[in-house]
Amino acid sequence: MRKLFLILFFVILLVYIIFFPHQLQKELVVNPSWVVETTAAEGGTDDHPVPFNFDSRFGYFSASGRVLFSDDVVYRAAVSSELFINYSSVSEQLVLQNPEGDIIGTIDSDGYPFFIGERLFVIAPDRMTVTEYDYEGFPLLHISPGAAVTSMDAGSEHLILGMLNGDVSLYTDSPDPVYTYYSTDSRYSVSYACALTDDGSRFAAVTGLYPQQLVCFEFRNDEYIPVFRMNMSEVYRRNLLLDYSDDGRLLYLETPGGLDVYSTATFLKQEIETAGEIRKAVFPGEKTMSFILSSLEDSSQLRLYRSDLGTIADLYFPSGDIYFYLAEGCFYVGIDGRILRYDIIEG
Amino acid sequence: MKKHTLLFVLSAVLLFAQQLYAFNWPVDDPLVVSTFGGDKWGSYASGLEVYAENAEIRPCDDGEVIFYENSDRPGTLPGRIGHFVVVEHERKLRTLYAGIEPAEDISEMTGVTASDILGELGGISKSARLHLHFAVIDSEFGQYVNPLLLLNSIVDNASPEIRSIRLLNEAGFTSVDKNAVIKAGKTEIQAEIFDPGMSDDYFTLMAPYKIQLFHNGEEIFYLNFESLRYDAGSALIQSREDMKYDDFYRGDGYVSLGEISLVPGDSRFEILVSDYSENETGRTFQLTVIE
Repeated sequence: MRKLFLILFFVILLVYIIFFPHQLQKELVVNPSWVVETTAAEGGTDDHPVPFNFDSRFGYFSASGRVLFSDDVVYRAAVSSELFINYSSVSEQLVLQNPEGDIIGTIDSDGYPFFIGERLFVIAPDRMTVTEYDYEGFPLLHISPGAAVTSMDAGSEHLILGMLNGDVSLYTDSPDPVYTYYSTDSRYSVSYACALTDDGSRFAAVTGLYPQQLVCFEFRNDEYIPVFRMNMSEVYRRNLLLDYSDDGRLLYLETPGGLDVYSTATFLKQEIETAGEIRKAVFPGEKTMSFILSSLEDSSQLRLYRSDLGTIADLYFPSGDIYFYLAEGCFYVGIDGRILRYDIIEG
Repeated sequence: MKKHTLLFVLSAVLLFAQQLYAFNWPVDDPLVVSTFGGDKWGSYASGLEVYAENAEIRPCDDGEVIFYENSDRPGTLPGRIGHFVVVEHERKLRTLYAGIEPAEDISEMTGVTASDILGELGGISKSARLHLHFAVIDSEFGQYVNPLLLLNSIVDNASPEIRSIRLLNEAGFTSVDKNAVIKAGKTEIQAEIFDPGMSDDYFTLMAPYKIQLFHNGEEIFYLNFESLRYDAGSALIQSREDMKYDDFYRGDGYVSLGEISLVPGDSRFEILVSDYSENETGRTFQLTVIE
């Protein structure tokens, strides 16, 4: 009887081990793959050109390391994977060009073009209007929010604007907001940061001074409702980094020592310490590797994080004009006109 | 009626406030090159543009720095727009200084006095010639206020100009000359009006402060550039009647002074234009209106 019990126990254990094995974390390895000088453009086309944009040079390269197009930045350049606008300091017409350099449209404006994701916006010099354009230069959406825009984010179909008067307005395809948060709890009403998930189901903002608050909203039962509010311990009078991970599961907020990362389900916080000033933070999602690029005194640091936000490795680069781009299975780092590809290998 | 009373009260408050609460100019020896209400690429100018030889920018009055932008850190608006600083003063008046390079210690500045230096002209303004964009916001009422109403007065001896006048009716445009003849009916009066600026060395087309149109002695149009508010996505100059940009600026240098139904006979028109220093220009024209 006892023997039978033991046999049964081991059979059950074996079945459990086979069907419900313990997931061991895979080891992530980062391998340098190639390096190219962006000044030496070979020309040609590619199905998936990767954009790069330094302060003084921009263009496109292929995943195999061939520089397809490269040009000097006239004053500033707005660059996406499908088009670029290289504009002068006094331009009254913005010229839209594809990655081969062909002109595909124009926009009559003295504003400043930029991309959020692949969406093209132009903001007026006085920040009183924001206009979205299609890739031929036709206006899609023109918004005059009534106060100077201090912060902005966009998802696939939503757009969020933070204003100097403290209002934070959410838009879809109409110039009238679908929702506006009026910050009234502080002595001074100003919006310092705002962020939006790609599907528009969540947004967050940092507003007000004395107190300064982080407020988070979710779309539930056909309306946006506040789900989290916190008085900030450190007060900022400038824009600060606030963003969602690509999958919307994490919200990260700049702090004096690095970043606070919140779960959007529980709002439990995890603190990440960084060295130097953060230049870029990339959080694809809960299950993937994340990146923070910081400027140190005499170098730049790229810190790689596991999905549990533990540090994997630090990569150091000379200080200078730096660029970072995350792609499927790899990432690119650019330093002073030179681009390096690193492959991410799961071991 | 209520609106007129409100505007009267607002004007009285602003004029009274100016006596008690005159702001200092943010730069020494300012040269105004663009005025409030001017034509700014499809919208009204919400502030002044000021050129100065001395690059130091000071707050117009004591206040609290509530916002500044001084680098291209993440979270800063894309596009690398000229950096700016916003100070809130008493009575919820905010002053905005754009196109400047904020002082290195701006992050430590909280309360500021009129003698502090906020920064210098420059930053990464898109303009080829460095200038300060200066705006005054009444955050209590959500309005942009003409800064000239609150700043100490400066010398301006140049009178506004009325370069030309034209009439628009069903038949098209008619230029106004000594013997102008026009058919009766609805007619829009348009004029090319500008303020040439405050210096002989720097000619610029600026908006005047007040425009009036009289028909046979009766005022039929009045506009002054006192305050600006945004409503339903449109910028509105708040005068006796709120006026949309597109209803005023005609896109070819002309402004619309409204419509009138002309009846046969003689019609006498007078346009009066003044700037904030009360330099005034008038022009009278006579029309013969036929059936």
